[in-house]
Amino acid sequence: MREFMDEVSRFLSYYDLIFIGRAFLYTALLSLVGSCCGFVVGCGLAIVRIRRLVPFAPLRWLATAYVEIFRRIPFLVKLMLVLFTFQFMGVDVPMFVIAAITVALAASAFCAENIRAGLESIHVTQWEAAEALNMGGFSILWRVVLPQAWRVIIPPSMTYSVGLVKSTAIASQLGVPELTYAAKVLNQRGFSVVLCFGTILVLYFILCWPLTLLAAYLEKRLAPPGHR
Amino acid sequence: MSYTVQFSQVTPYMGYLAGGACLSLQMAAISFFAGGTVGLACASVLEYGPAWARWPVKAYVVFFLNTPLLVQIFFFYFALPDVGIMLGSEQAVLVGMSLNAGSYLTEIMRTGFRVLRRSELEAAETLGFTRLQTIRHVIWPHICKVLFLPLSNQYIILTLTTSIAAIFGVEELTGRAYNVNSQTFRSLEVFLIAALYYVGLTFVASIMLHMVGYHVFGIRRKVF
Amino acid sequence: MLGIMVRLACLVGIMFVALPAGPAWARSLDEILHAGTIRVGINPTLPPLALFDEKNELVGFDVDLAQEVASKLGVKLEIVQVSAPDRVPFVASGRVDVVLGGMTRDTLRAKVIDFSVPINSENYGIITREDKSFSKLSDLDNDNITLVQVRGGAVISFIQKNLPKAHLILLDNYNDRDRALAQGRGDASFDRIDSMEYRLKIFPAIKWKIIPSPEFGVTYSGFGMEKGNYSLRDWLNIALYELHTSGMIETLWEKWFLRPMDTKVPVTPYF
Repeated sequence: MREFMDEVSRFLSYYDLIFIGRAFLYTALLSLVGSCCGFVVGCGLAIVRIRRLVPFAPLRWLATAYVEIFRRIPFLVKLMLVLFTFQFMGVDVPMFVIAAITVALAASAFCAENIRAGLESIHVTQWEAAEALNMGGFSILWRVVLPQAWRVIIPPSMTYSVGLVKSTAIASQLGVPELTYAAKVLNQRGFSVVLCFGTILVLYFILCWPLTLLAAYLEKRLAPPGHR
Repeated sequence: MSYTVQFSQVTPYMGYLAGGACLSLQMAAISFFAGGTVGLACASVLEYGPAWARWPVKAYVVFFLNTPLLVQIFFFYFALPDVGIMLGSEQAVLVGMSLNAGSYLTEIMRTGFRVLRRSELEAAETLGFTRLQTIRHVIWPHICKVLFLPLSNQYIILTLTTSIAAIFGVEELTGRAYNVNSQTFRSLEVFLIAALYYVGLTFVASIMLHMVGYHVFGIRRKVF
Repeated sequence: MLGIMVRLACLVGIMFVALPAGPAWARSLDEILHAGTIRVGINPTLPPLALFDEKNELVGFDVDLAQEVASKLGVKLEIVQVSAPDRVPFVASGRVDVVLGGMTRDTLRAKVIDFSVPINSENYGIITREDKSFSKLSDLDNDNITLVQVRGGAVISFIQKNLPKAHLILLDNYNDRDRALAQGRGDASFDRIDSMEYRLKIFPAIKWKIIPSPEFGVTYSGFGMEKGNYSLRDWLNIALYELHTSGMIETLWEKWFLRPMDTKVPVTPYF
């Protein structure tokens, strides 16, 4: 026990705290950038898949293929594919971009599917009624369908964003200085597994738990009347 | 000189990778059933158990839902030996995945328990159903119908999650892709093929589960 | 559902056929001099070749060597962190000019990248604890022996061929391997032993035993660079000749590995 306390006091040196703090910010930033980009792309994909708005079928198929493929590749494999694709193209980008693109790919495919489910939860009669009022396709989407669909879309998206934060741990395989990698580095310097990985487990929890609570709150708050 | 895509050096390993895919499927199945058992037990405790038992279960679920599986497995693999529990790499991954899946499945099972309305049971009673008949004709079909989709999705997600085992040296699909990569350095090609395997495996699973859901439970919604 | 599947299959087919060929990205010696920086790939998971110090900055043998080379060239050093699975593709695709990190020269790698003359020798042996009784490589060919190894590399094929009876545990990297050995997950590991003195310092409670196996032979590692980048390779060969003959490499080696290099690198002025 005394040994452990000694180790903790060594662990809490200025440089190590800075190192872990930076790693924490890196994980947070990676998740934020990745999921925001993913959400935007996902919205686009979901809209492209609406038959009423995009009559050109191959475009819809392409969007469907994108969603179906990228949802079905594990994060680790996706990470390697992004990495090696950039190498193959000979484009020199920082590792952060590679990790963020991987997060964004995962997020976009999920969001596209989730937003589509949200849009489809709105009954066809609403589209028809709005069309009868001579509203344009995008106007219907923006002013009639989306305001109702958000309730269905937001809660699962929030829950999924927790999953994304957790997936970023796998980016440690690239050697980007996020939390898991920081733990590996400190462990290699001789600090015990319990201390290194215990610390980052707590930090991940601090990052994820508020998001989970927010998701649960929104789910209750936004649930359409009569569904609960 | 530029890097050109050449599948010819990787194609001899297709069978080897397929062997890895078998292990992936096995691991997904084991952790799904183990996680399902954990989830069922925890959900029962949370819904019907005594207050003192609910707290630790709640803590387990919240903790595992909010921390990364990779770090959990690291902990199981490298920290547990300090207290005398030595798990092999595959075991550690399976324990981690099962406990992690258990936390998700607890939440799913709870929604299953909640769909039962008192009025339904009362109606069954009025119709003169015995307890067994109530379970067989009222409770079971209703729960199955509600749980089928989220459980199927969870199974497919678990299949994808098995790739984490590669980081611990397990020779499943991704692990074998790493091996082939270190022998041929045909990285893009190897991981494209591995990705194709994953897409194929989960797509087939989706279609099969969709057919089961449609014909047995009459569920039209898409699986995963 | 079936319809979707057929469409998907067509699309995937199209995507594979339409993959464009990547553009070249080699930087010759001239271009490096012109740019004023040399990008060196360094793998921080192989201490003491490279590691993080108390300030969590990258230091080590490779970092010092890269610095020496950069100052000989008169350009700035830019360190790019690479990891084990991606370092060969990194240099093969030209994202770094040269890569370090125990780049063992072997025929498999040499198909994909070019190598300089050797920087250092790599000596092999058995890493185990003092209470184990084996003394030579052939003792490991026994089905009550478990070897803990790192995935990939020539050592694995050697073990599979020559020690078929031993059980194998394969791990992702050397740090995990060391930890697994310290925890007693296996009896021994057969691998490079040059860095072991340094690496095993973080397990002071364990009495280690390292048995050299010269019968396996010695390998050499050098700078790895993109295939066909001869201007850079030829310059590096001359730089390494100077660094060897001036004793700089041996000095750096002893500074980081805490002992002399086991097998001296024969230095000749002909390349």
